Amino acid sequence: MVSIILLIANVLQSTLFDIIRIRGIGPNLSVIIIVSFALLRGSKEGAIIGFAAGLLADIIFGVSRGYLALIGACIGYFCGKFNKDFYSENLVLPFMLTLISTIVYGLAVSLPFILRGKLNYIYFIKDIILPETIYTMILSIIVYQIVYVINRAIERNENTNRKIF
Amino acid sequence: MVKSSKKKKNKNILIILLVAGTIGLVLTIGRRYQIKVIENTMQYITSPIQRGVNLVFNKTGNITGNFKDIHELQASNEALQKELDQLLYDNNILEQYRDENEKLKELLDLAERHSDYPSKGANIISKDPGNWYKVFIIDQGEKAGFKQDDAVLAGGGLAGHIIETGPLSSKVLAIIDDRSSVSATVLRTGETGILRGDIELIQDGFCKFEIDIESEIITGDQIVTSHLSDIYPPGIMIGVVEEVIISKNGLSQYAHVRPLANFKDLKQVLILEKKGS
Repeated sequence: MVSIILLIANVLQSTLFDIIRIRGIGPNLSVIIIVSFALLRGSKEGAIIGFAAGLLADIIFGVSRGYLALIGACIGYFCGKFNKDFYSENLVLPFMLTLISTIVYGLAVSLPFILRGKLNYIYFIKDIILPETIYTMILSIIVYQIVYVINRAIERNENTNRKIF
Repeated sequence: MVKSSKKKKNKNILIILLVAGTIGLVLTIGRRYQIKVIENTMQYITSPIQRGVNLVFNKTGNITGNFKDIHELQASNEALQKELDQLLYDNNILEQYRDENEKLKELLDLAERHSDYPSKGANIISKDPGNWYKVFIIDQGEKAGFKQDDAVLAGGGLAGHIIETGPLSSKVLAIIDDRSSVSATVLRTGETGILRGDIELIQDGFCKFEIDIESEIITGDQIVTSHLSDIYPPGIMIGVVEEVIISKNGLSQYAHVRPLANFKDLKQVLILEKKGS
């Protein structure tokens, strides 16, 4: 179920989201999905979802495999830690976590650039990471609602399954 | 004692005479046409001296004369050099025109040769969602006969090359991607450099063309792929120089190149398949 969502999200992001780019900077949908699911379902599942989302992005567009998967898994795991202090109607926590995660994601992705000798770090932060973060945060409010509804459906499904068995 | 004082007197007289003579000389030069008598009488005195001096100067004059000659020669040499420079410059321009002509002819040939390459069209089906890289996926893969490292063209210019192929789709690395580098030539001068994608120019869709500091490159120069490349066939148009920048330390220069392919709204691409491979 989650994997289908991830697949849909990735396809959406790579096709439709190209239209809504502002000055060439697009939002980071996979981070929002990782953060929301990790918050709703705990760190273990968060890490798995993050790993899957990162690996998907790696396979489809990356040259090397595993780097984005690693970042995704880390983000999922740490966001899942907040699962216990979290109730579903709280909007501040996913908002803040999306902010932090997007910045971490951006910094991690820029690491290969630095290793290749592109040391203009201020440019990375100012012109790529910051706009991306703001855009992602605004989008996260909408996406979080959708993920919340989907998660409730999943939980209900799990409950009915439990009743059967 | 007396003898020596006499000698001193003689010397003094000699000095006085010489001074008087020189004053006379100056005066005669000053009033040449007024007092001819004095001049005539003076000539008798001065002419032997002049002759003597001339004699001496003629004997030793070669040395000073050489100096004089050198000055003259230097002057004329400078003038000639300037003329030569001008001519060389003109010649250079003409030669450049000739080279350009030849190259354009070659390019025409190449364009014809490109038509020999089996080229196939493909549609772009998705683009990298991130903000860091420029990778896109096309809807043709191994089944259409595409291989890794095939060159991808768009809008009449180079767009990138295939980095991975699947049965139904292929992954294309654009030339503006930070990981991409292409060996390229300035069409006008024939100098080669490296065309790299740059993360700071990726949003504008520009490339960075690194070239030797001593090479002449100007805005509007056309950049084509060079003969050195393994992946790309030579002579494919890449783009036009937009801006030339010399780095702060003055040791390197690079140019911003606007590719012919517009990466912002790229829909269709053309893939050149390599011959023989």
